[in-house]
Amino acid sequence: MAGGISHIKGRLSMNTIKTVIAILIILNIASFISADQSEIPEIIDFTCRTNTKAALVDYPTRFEGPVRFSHKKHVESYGAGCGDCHHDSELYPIEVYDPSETYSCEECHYDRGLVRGPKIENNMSEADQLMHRPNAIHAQCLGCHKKFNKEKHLVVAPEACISCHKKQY
Amino acid sequence: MTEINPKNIGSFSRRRFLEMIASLSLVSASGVWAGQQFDLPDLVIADSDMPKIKVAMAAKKAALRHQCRPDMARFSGKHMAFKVISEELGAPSASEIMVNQIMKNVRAGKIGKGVSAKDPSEARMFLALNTAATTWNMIVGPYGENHENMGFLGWLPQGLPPELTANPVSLKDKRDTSKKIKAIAAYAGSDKTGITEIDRRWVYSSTCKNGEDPGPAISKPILFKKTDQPKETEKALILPDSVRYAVVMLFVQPRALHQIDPATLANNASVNQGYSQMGIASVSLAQAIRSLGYVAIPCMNDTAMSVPLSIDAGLGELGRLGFLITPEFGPHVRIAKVLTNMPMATDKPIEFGVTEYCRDCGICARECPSGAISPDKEMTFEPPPGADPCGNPGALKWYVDGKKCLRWWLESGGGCSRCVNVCPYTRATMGDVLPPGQIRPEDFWDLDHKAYGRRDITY
Repeated sequence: MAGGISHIKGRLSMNTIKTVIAILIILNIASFISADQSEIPEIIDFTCRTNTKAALVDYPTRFEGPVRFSHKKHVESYGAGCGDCHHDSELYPIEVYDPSETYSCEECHYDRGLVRGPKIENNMSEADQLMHRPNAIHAQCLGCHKKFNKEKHLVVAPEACISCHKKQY
Repeated sequence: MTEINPKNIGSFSRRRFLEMIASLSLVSASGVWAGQQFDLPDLVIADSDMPKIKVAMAAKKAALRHQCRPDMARFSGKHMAFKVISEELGAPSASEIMVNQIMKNVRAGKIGKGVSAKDPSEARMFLALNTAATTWNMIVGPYGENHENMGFLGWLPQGLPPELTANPVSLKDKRDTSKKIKAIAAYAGSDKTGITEIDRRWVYSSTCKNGEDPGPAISKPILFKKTDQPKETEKALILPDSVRYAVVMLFVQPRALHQIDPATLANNASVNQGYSQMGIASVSLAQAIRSLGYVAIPCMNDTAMSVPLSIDAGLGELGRLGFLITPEFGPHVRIAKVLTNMPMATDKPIEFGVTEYCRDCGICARECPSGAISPDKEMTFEPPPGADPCGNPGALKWYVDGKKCLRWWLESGGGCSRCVNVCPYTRATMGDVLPPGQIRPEDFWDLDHKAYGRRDITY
């Protein structure tokens, strides 16, 4: 996960702002999947495997199938910046894409399988839950969508499983 | 990592800059999302083993059938999902959001998220069907909740001669009374009726008079007191202590409309037709009981919890999906009730293996579009944390996250019944009208339509 970001306080000059915008446009922001990529990945396919013990014992939803995430669309059409989803090792939002860093969620959120329901309440701390990648990604995606919907007083940004997950049999 | 030196420029701070970008993004994203077309996954129901239904009288009495912690509180009407979600979204009304979404869908020729009609005019036709289905529901008092003791759902006799309402008919044979009340209920529209003594744990602790406002709940407690007639004061709704019985009625919903899912106008029409029948029947039966000189409180979703009352009345068992599962119609029913002080023989709870079947099945949890149904093998006393405060802790069951469920309705623009539709008890009892896996909304119009859209009535 990217680290060492300077957290700027105070005010920015117009030149700085222009520079940031220019960098974002020229570099097309960045991919967090591969540090070598210089363009925003158009699509990111999350495999959403449910191979945890919990998932085998219980009943996973059929909508835990793969998610095709429209990464570029979120950046270009919805105006999302890197820091809206990606954070550094100190949990500060990424300010600017750094090709020398990795942006893979898996690097830190390495546990698999969504942990949910009473299990969360009884057995796991919030930090432990977030070690499970699906929990972290759900928190980011749903958290942002719910925040957006609250601003709009609507449910327009998708929240339901079916809206993102492809059904699996 | 690139360093950016902070420099001042006028009053344009970094925070302000980011806020501006964020709000611009929000506005543009809202437009994009509003116009986005989604292709939902194909919803084919996988084959599952059908339950074998063999009904037996429950070994335990009604009150002992429910496993509840002593600290379980009575449910409050202010914790209904429509109220809670309206508060969460800061919206004038969750229903209004749904109506807006419906209109948006219809303009685009859709009857739900990812479910297209042939064209916008056919989508309008489904909306018309839904309008017909829900009209009596709206007239009586939409869905009942937040309409306790209002209009047709008023708690006192309406337009009946005092000679009747003030003089209770002498009823010596409780069994005979039950039989006749069930017959009257059938003629009022009930598809099956059961009678139970009221377990007060299932009566709401309070109502909510502003059930869809984002602001603080305007709530009144429901109290039982020594009084002849029910009444409402500035501070409370009061039921007579003598109101000890509930007549619980089931209403079968149109199967074909339910099959056009998930969360579509067709589903809405099916459910709303059930609600209209609930409204008509509960008010009609209440008036009949009042004409016999007894107190009668007509209820739809309001005043008391329908599912535990119907279990106590011997109409079915609780399923994983949070619905009553009946041996005749699976969970494909709606439930209304009339609370009364008319002495009647009560029915005994039944068992036909629902809990055991649901533990091993779980298809509703797998198919739920919003992940609202507990996927866990075992039941719990606690709802999922996210369901707070809609889930009422303390009863052993598979909890359903009502908030997730309703937010999906608002997202899609239609009440969802996917869980009911896929339940093997539905399919074992009601069968399929439209062929699963090949459902096209337009095929609905070519069906042989029944009276009330749900059953054969020969005149």
